[in-house]
Amino acid sequence: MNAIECKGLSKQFEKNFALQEAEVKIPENRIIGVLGPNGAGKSTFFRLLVGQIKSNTGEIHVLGQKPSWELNHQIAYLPDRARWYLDYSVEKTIEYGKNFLPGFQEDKAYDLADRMKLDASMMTASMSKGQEAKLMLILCMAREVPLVILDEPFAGIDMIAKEQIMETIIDLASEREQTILISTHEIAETEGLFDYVVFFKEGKVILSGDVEELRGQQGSLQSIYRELYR
Amino acid sequence: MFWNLVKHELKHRSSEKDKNSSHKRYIKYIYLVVFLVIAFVFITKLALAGELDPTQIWNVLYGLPFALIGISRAIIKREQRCNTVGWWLSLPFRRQTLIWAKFLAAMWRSILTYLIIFVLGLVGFFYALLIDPKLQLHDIGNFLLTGANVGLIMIVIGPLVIALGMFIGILALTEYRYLVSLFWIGFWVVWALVISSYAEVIFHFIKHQYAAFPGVSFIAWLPCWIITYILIVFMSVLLERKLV
Repeated sequence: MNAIECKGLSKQFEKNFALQEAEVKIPENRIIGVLGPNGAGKSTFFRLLVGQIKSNTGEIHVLGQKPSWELNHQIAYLPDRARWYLDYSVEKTIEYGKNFLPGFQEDKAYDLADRMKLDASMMTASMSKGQEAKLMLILCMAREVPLVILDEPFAGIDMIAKEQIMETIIDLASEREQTILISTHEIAETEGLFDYVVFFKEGKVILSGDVEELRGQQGSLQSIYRELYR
Repeated sequence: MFWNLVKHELKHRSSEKDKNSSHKRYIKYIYLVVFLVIAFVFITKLALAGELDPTQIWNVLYGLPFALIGISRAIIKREQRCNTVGWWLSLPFRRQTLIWAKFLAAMWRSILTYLIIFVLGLVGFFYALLIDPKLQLHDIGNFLLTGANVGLIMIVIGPLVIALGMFIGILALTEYRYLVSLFWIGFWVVWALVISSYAEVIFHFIKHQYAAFPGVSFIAWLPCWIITYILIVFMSVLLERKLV
């Protein structure tokens, strides 16, 4: 069963195509790496999935439905280059999740905050970028929803924070039946996280498949990445 | 849930840039102090010369539409400035619900702004009363009614001005963002034309409008609120279909 299916998906911004006739099939209940360099179309693809923008052509089915605000009840989404509200504390952020995000589990959120060493009274304004990234991740990962989309969750944060975030994702994925999509171009550090990958290049999917199978056929993800984008 | 959304919108928002720039944090207070000093000098000078018509203090309210348009545009723009626009737009609510929440928050801020100006105007009146021998305490009735009339007019046109400000903010998020500067130019030209041609008529209306109330206000109220509603629906369509 596929969590996401797209056929002939195109999105044009002014004269540039962000996606061009992309064909995507993403299996459910796996951790999926959506890989590719900047400008490959990853963020546009995610924004189409959550209904923030409309495609020019093609079809999208997410969890068997067309993207809409109603479908966002079932999707936890971390936007690209997102920051969190500076005047919110960890506690207020968890309250925000409880108030507005369906499936948000308050206990789980406090549990994650504790694990990531974020004190409830800590304000976003006083956080490092890594701590802020962890807080935003809590908003997504504390939700009991079938689909989680994380757009560049590791961008600009240090190695220790990255490792903590990856550990959290792996732990939670093993506890739940959840499809987790993660975009990144930092393959070296995140390679062990994924069990399925989709490679984007110039708005098209150029390769996708089970990580173990791809490794068996073509070597490490890092070497496949080098080969594809050199 | 909707009121929680309004409450969320009412929070003060600062961006990373504001956090790192101490002068930006205090700039609005500096503007306020400069404005109060100018008003103080102006009132003192006219009152000592016995030339002060206290209702002129309310002239400051001519700037209120600009304040309202600034408040309402900022309530959209801050999502962009703070890089939180992605969070806002992925909330599982209808686009129209998201816009109504911001609209009500902007309305509340606008009412507060008006009330602050009203109180400051009142302080100005009492100060003038102390130093102007011609001014009497019973003049306060006319003074208050003039100020309250402006408030009434704000209730009539305020929502429309707020919706226009939000519309400019929303337009900047869409593929029609190139129209934003054109819209601004249009707004300034129309406002300048209205003020230069009808300032006296407007001020006369403000001073004596309570006599005509409620008929005149109601006639203006209905179309203003209908256009506001249409603008809000249009904004939600833009957010739904034309985002970049």
